[in-house]
Amino acid sequence: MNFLRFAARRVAEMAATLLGASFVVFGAMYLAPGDPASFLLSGRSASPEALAAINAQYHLDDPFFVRYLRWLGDLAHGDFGRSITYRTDVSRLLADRLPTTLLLVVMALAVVVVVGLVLGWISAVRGGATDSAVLVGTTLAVGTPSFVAAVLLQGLFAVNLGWFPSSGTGDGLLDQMWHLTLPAVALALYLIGMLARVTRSAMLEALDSEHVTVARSRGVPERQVIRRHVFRNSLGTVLTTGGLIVSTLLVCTILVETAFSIGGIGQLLELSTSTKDFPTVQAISLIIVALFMIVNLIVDLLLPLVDPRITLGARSSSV
Amino acid sequence: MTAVLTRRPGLAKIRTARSPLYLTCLGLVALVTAAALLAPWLVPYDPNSVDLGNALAGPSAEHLLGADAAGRDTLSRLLLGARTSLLGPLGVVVFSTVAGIAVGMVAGWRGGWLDSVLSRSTELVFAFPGMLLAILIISIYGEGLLAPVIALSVAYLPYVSRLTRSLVLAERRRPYVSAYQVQGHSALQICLRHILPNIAPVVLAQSTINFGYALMDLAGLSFLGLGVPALTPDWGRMVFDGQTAIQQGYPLSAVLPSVFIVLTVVAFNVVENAGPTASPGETDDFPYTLDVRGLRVALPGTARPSSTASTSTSPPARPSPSSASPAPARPSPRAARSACCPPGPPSRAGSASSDRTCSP
Repeated sequence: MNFLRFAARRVAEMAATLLGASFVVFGAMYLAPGDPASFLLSGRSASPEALAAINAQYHLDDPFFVRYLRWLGDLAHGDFGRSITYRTDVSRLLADRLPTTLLLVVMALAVVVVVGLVLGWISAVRGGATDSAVLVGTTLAVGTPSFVAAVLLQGLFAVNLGWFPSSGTGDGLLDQMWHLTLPAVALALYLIGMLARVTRSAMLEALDSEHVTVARSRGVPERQVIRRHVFRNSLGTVLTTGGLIVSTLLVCTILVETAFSIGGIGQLLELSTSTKDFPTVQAISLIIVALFMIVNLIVDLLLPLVDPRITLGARSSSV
Repeated sequence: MTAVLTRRPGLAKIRTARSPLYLTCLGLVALVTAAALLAPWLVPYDPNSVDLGNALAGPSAEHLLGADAAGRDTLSRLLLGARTSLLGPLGVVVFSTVAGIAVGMVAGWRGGWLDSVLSRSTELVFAFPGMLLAILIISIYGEGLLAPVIALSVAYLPYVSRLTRSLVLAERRRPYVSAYQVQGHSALQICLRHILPNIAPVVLAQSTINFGYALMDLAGLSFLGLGVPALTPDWGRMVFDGQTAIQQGYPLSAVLPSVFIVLTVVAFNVVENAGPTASPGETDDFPYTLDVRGLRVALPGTARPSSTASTSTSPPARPSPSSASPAPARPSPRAARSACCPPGPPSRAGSASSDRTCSP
């Protein structure tokens, strides 16, 4: 019961923040110099018909809040407006591209979780030279922007060695995964470094604690100590990075998809920003923010289950 | 309230661990900064002079680091590119620090509805990753360096303001603040002249960490063609220009700026992390005379929940990317405690060295 109340509270908070975010994304349009209609049509022929269409679509004759509420209502029905560049519904553009991006993000996420956790684990448990090597490697990794990794990987593995295709998405799931391997690695590199560091420091902290000494002194096998007492205890800290990891992945797809010319929503965001296709920018921004918040919500709901020391009461009083 | 009897190093004595790695990185930072400052006098060629006869030329006596696909001298572009590539992040750090301290101080000092409004908007900004906010602003104001710098400053502001707020909340409860209030000093004067110098080392340590992130974000925006104007040399833009060359089998003009970006970010990260750490209790540099931390004596009802301790909607503080010591993503109990109780008691500005205070 307590958990349900906590969950309901968090969902309500997320909805409130999401509402705020949608207001920012909508209101941003009115920061532009000049009136909204000419901004939306910037650089394009402002024929009377086009102006009338824009006015009708954005209800520009209505007061600001009525406009915002209508826009919100359209969003709730899955209507993201019409793209000015592509002259089709934004929702259709998104539906074509979202699966590719999601596949890329999921692949990168898998790489990040597996490699990051393993590196952090090894680094904390082995110590010594292994630890130093991992530290140097992760220091380099967190200093490498994903677009640099993308260009360098492309040069080495696609152009020089020819092991992977250098661009495009391919057909069929296996071919797609084949095409997305290099991009996923480029996307993952920075976060592998980050997650390995977080895992390492969380595990070192757990290794330091008294219950580990007690478990060892009672003769519990070392492997079991590491798995049940050290890793299990650091899992909570590792889990809190989930939201940050997913939001970083989503944002960096913009760079990686552009570098590998993958037709996903990241590349669409880049294209629509440079062509000033604001409805598309709005839609993609909102999707990225919403996905980030949903992941954060899931993390928050999972946290008390993973780490029972985080009691619900303490959390709700601290909010 | 925590009783700590200590000498405060203050701003003047920022002491650091001097490992070889740190010294190498410090040298690298100095070198890049010097190159950026002296670039106009160092460059051998006009960075934009196109010479198609030299397109994709390798290193030679004429062009020490070769030329790009348009025959532009890579060395000249790298040197001049250091200016835009460092100036942008510097602007982000300065602006986000100043604004973040202002917001955090107002929230921590005034409290009440203003605090809740500022905390809520902080959570809202956290939901927008820096790069996304920058792209949103660029799609409105068009390409250029100013719009992304402002957008990134806004995106990084919460990291500074949240820390400042919790530090100010802790400082407020210290007796010296009441003493100044009794003496009739104005709130502004107390904040700026007495609280600010005391919390500055910790806040600056946090905000300079943003430099590396800002450099990567701005380089990424330039890579997308959304950052600096087309003809301005910039490392991120050079990677983009070099990408076609790399696909033709001439990697040099893309690899060089990539190496510069990575080395600069790593060097800045290492140097910043070796600076005054946010959790000084861990280092030997902090000369505690007496440190009683476990003992907490508080009146019920006076303790206010601080936002750093809450774990809910806001994402974890960014993990320090390259510290040699473990840096947890979320404030560990130890870090959180030292964030709430900043190193040592306050001292009057100017008498930092000999000042010893004991707060009961």
